[in-house]
Amino acid sequence: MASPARTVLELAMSDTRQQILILHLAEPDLGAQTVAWALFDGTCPAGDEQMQAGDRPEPPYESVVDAMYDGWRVVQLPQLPTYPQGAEHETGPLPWEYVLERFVRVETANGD
Amino acid sequence: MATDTQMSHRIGALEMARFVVDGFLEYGDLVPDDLNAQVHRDALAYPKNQGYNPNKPREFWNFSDAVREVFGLPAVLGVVESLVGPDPIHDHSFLHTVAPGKREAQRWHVDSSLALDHPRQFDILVCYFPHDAPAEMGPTLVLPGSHVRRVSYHDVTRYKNFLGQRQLTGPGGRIAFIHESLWHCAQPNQTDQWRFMFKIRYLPCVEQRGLFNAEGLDEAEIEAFYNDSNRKYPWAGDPFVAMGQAWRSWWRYLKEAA
Repeated sequence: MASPARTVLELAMSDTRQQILILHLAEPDLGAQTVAWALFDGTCPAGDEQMQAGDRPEPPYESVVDAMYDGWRVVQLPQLPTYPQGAEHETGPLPWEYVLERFVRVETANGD
Repeated sequence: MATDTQMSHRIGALEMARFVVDGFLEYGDLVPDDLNAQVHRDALAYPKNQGYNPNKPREFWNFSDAVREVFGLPAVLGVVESLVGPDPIHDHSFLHTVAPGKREAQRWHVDSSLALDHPRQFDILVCYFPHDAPAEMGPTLVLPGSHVRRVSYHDVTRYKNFLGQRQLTGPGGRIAFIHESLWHCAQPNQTDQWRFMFKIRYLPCVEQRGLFNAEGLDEAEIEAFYNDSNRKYPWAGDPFVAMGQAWRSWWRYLKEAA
């Protein structure tokens, strides 16, 4: 069994990186329309531009199902709402938030 | 109590309803061109890249006679008083700048925590663009309708793009009067010119109801406006019903005299 230190080292030298895509849908159904989107890209070196506020007027996928077809894995489903009496009309952040991930291979520069 | 002269510059019922739904009002015809040009010259002459100093909350205001003249115009005061009432507190003001070629967008945020009686109780942010501000110059990006959602300051920074996001682009002299809870952020400036936006935060000293000009108020017209607005914001998705409830509840409060 690998020691924890060995595991951390192996991860550090891995040539795959995680990308996180967050899609907000109009309804809980995973086929519902994408209404907001954000990408956090682990292949993007520090200092390079990640997706920024306002930089993409069109969603990358029309729905979560569309993203799944393209190879993204869903890692978080939003809880369905409950409505405490007296707070039926409360609003807050966007409710139907799906977190997806994929791992992509990157060129590593580990010397000779 | 507003005088007849003051009331003539107040916004009407439909504009008030539009503020309830959108969270902001914008005008391009309140300030004469020569005054816009003078404020722009003052902004160019003002030292660049000064961060906001809370101990000097009115630096550009004190620097520019012209900007004080803008905010003394009856047409500008009329909108301010319609939203926050007479003699509001000028909490602070600041000349916001985006340098030529700045590539980073600001993160989405709101300029407040939640008021005890959100969204009825609110400060306003008055954003004045003295010069032409096309999209590539990075005028403020807003999410119309977001002001009724219960979020605070930086809760929304993880969001990046929405259906329905909108940049406050337009010719010089535009002023946007914004509810404190509207989600917004500055945008990159791809031009070789400085982008300026002067912003004042006004705090109300009265209950914010019965302040707009209700002459000729047509309830059927207002209700139709709210009905037509129900699916105006695709980003809201299914919870648009809750937003409609918030608008109507707020409207019933607004139209009554304090």
